[in-house]
Amino acid sequence: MTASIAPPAAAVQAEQLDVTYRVRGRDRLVIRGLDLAIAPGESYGLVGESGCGKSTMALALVGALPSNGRVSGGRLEVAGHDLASARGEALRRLRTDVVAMVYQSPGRALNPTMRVGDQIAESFVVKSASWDEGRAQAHEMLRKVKIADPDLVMRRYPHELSGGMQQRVVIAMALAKRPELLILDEPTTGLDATVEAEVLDLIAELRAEMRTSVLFISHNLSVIARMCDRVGVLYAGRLAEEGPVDDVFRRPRHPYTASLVGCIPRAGMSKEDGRLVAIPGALPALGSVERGCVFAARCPAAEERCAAEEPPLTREDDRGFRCHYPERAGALSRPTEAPLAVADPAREAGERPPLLEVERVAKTFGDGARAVRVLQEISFTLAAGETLGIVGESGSGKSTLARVLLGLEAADEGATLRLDGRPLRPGVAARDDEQVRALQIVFQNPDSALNQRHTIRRILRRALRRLSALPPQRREQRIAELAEEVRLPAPQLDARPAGLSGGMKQRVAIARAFAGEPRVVVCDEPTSALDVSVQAAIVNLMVWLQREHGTAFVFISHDLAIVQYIADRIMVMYLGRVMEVGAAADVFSPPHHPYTEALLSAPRDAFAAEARARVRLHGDPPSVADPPSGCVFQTRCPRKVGAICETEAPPCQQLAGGRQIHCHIPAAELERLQREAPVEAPTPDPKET
Amino acid sequence: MTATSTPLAAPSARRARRVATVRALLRRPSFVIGTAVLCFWVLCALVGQAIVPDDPYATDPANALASPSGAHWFGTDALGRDVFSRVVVGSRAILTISLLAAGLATLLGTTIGLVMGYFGGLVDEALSRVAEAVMALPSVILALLALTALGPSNLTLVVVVGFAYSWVIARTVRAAVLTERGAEYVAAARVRGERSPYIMFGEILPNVVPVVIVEFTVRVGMAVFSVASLSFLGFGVQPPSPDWGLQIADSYGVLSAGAWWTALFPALAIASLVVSVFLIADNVQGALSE
Repeated sequence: MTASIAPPAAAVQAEQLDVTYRVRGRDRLVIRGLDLAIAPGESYGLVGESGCGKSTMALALVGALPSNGRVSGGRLEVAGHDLASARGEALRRLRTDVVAMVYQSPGRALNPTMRVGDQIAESFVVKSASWDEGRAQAHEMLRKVKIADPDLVMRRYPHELSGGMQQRVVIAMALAKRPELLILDEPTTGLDATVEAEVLDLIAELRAEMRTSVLFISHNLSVIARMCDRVGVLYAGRLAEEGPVDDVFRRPRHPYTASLVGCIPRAGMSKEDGRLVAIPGALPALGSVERGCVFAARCPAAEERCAAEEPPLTREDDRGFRCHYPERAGALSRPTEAPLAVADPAREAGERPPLLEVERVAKTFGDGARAVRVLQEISFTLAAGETLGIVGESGSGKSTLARVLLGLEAADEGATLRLDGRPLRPGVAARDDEQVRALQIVFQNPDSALNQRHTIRRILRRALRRLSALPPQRREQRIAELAEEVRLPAPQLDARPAGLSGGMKQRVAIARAFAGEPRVVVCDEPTSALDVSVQAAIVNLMVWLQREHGTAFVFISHDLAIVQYIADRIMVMYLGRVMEVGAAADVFSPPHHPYTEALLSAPRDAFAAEARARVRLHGDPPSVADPPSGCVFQTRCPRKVGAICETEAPPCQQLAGGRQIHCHIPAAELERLQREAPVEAPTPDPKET
Repeated sequence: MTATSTPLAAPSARRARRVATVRALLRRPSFVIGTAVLCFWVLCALVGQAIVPDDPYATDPANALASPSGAHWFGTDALGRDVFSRVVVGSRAILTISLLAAGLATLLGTTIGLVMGYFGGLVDEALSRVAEAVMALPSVILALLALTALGPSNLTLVVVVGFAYSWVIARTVRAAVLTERGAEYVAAARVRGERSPYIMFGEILPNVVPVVIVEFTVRVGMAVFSVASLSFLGFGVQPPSPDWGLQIADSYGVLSAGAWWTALFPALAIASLVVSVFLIADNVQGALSE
C-alpha cells in the first residue's frame, strides 16, 4: 500500500464523536463525546452490555445509521476519509474499498436467493472485476477461509450451509474487499463453542496475514482478551476505559470494567469460592443522565461527587479512564465472600438416597424411515439439594432431556423415571399433584416464558393456586414474600412482563418456579439470554435459593464457566449421548473425554489470554438424524485411535468418585496424553493478580 | 415527576399506550371517515324511526315512482313509499343482523380455532376438513340452503351467516394459536399441571385477542354484504320491512322505466356501510400490529 510515502492514517479516528437518535420527536444521545483511535493493523475490542452503543458505533463507521440516527457532533474518520460528510458515490466507494463488516447472524447477512459463489464474486465485481474473475477470486477466498471444498460450497445456497460455514462465507466476502478496516459485530455469538473457537482461530490467522485493522465488538470478555491488542469499555455511550487488553482486564481503573470482569466466574471458580460480582440496577435510558458520571447510579464505589460532576477522561501512559476514584476499581473485580456458610448438602450426597433417578431414557421423534433418535439411553441420579450441570452444544439433546423429565414429552418405551423411589409417569397430566409440584422449570427466555398479557401478580397467584396448598386468603401475602425472595420490587408486581427489564423478568420466572417449594428445578439455559452483569445476579440468586430451600437443580447450559461455578456434578452430552459424567472439580482436570477437552479449549476466561496448547475440533457437528457409526464423536475427535472408533460404541469406563468416561482410550492413557499437551491448566488461585 | 415515580409508572404506562393507540388511529384520515360514516348509520338505526320525514311503511299510490324532489329527497318507490325514509330506517335490520352474525361467528370461530391450534393432530385434521368443506361453498349458497330448509327469519339469518363465517375465523385464529402454543409460557403452564381449557382460554386467548378483534371487524363488513345479498334474493328480511337488499330487488321491474333512484340509494347505503367498516378494520389492524 502507500504506507511508505506518508505516515498512514489511523484506521479509525473518532474525536468528540456524538451520535444521536431521534426517538418520538426527541433527540437522544446514544454516543457521547467518544474519543477513539485504532492504529493501522491494530485489533481493537469494544465491550459493554447490550444498549451501551457498541453496534451504533459499528453502524456509524460504515455510514449505515438507521434513518433516525445521525452523527451530530465531533469527527469520525476511517482511514483518513471523513465519514460524517460522505454521501452517495463517495460513501459507496468507502464501503467497497475501505471498510467491511461481519454481522452477528450470518444467516441474515447472506442473500438467501443467491448462490454463495455469486455472492462472494459480487464483492469483486463491484470493485470492477468481471464475473469470471470474480468467481475465480471467490474460489480463492473460500480456500483462504479454510473451506475444504470451495467448488461445492460455491454452488450452494446459504441455507444449505451450517452456521459456522455461513460465517466463514461472510468473512470471505468482507475480506474480498481487502478492507483497511474490518468490523466484526459479535461474529461468533450465535455459534457453538467448538465452532466459535475455530472461527476465532481463522480470524486471528487472516488478520495476521492481511494486516487489516480490526474493530471487534463483543459482550464476551474472554473472546476480546484473545483476539484484541487494545480494548475500549463502553457504557451508556461513554467510553469508560481503554487500554491494552491484558492491562485493562487485570488492573481495571474503572468500576464498570472491574464489575464486568468480576461478573464472569473465572476458570476453576465454584460457588464455594464466593458470590459473583453483580452490577445492581440497569443501564440508564438513552440520554437520561444529564450530569455526573453515567455509571454513578450503579457504581458500588460512587460518592456524592460522582453524581454531580462528570469525571474527565484521564490519560495515563497507554491507558485512559473516566473515573474520579480509579484506585477503588481493583477491589471490585474479585468475588465477594459467600454470604452463607451453610454446609453444602451435595457433600453428603453419597449417603443420601437419590431424589431423582433416570434410567435408560431415549427419545425418538417421527417414525419409520424418518425416525430421529435425539436421546440415547441416558441414565443419571440426582440427590436432594444437588446441582447437576448438563453441558453440550446445540443438537446434543439436553433440552429434550429436560422436557422428558418435566413430562412435556414422553420418553421411548423402556425408560424409567423415579422421584423419591416412586415412578414418575411419562406425561405431566398423569402425575399426581405432589409430583407436579416437585418438578418445576426456569426457561431460557423470560419473554417467552411469561405470559405477556398477564400481570406479574396474576402469574404468581396462578402458580400458587396450582402448586401450593395455601388457602386463597394467604396467597397475596405469599406473593409479596416470593417477590421479596427474588428481590423484585413490590410495585412491579402490578406491571406486565413488557414493563420489566430482562433480569427482573427472569426473577419472576424463578419466583414462579419456586412457588410450590419444588424438590427439583430444571434450569434450561436460564442466563443465556441475559447480559453478563445480570447473569451474575441471577446465578447468585439461584445459589442462594438453593441453599435456603434445599432444592436440587438440573442446570443446562452451553456455558462451561457458569456450569463449573454452579454445578456439583457435570454431565457432558454430544448428539444425544453421554460422553462423560463426574464431579465438577474432576471433569475439569485430566483425564477427560476428548470432547470435554475440546470444550475446555474454547476461550472462557478473560485472564487466559496467553497462547496455550489447544485442542481444536474441525468441521461442524454431524446431524442428529444421521449420527456417525461407532463412537458418535469419531468424525471430529482429535484423539481418534483408529478403526475401532468407527465400528464400536465406546465402553463406559468407571473411575473413582462416580466418574464415567465413554471412550475407547483407557483413562490412564487419556490422562497421560492430556497432561503431555495440557489443554488448559486449571487455575488454582484465581486471585493471583 | 421525579425519579421515584418510575416503579409506579407500570399500570399507567399501559393506559398511556392505549391512549397512544387511539390517538394514532385518530390521526389516520381514513379511520376518521370510516368511523363517521358508521356512526351515522348506527344513529339512523337507533333513532331513524323517530326522525324520518315520512312513515316508511305508508303507501301512496298516487305518488308512485316520483323522482327525487324537495318533498321526497330520494324519490318514491312503486308503492309510493318514501325511499329516503326507507333507507334510513332500513339500517336497523341490516346492522343488527350483521353485528350479531359477526359476533356469533367470532365466538364460535375463536373457540374452534383455539381447539384446532391447541390440540393439533387428529382434532385439527378433522376440523380443518369441515372448515374447507364449509368454505368451499360460497357463503350465500350455503345460507340459501339453510334458509330454504329452516324458513327465513332474522334469527336464522344470524345463525346461518354466523356459522358460515365462523370457519374462516377459526382458520385465522388457529394459525395465531400455533405460534403461541410453542411459546414457553404454555409449557410452563403444562408443567404446573394446568388443564387444557385454562391454557386455551386463560393463557393463549389473551395473546390472540388482537387477531380476534381484526377478524371481527372484517366479518362485520362481510356480513353486511351477505345479509343484503340474501335479502335481495328474498331469503333475508321479509317484506314489507324496509331493507336495503329488498329495496334493490323490488326496484328491478321499475328500473327499465327510468326509476333509477329506487335502486341507487339503497345500493349506496350498502356500499357506504361496507366500505366504512372495512376502513375501520384496516386501520385497527394497522394500529394493533404496530
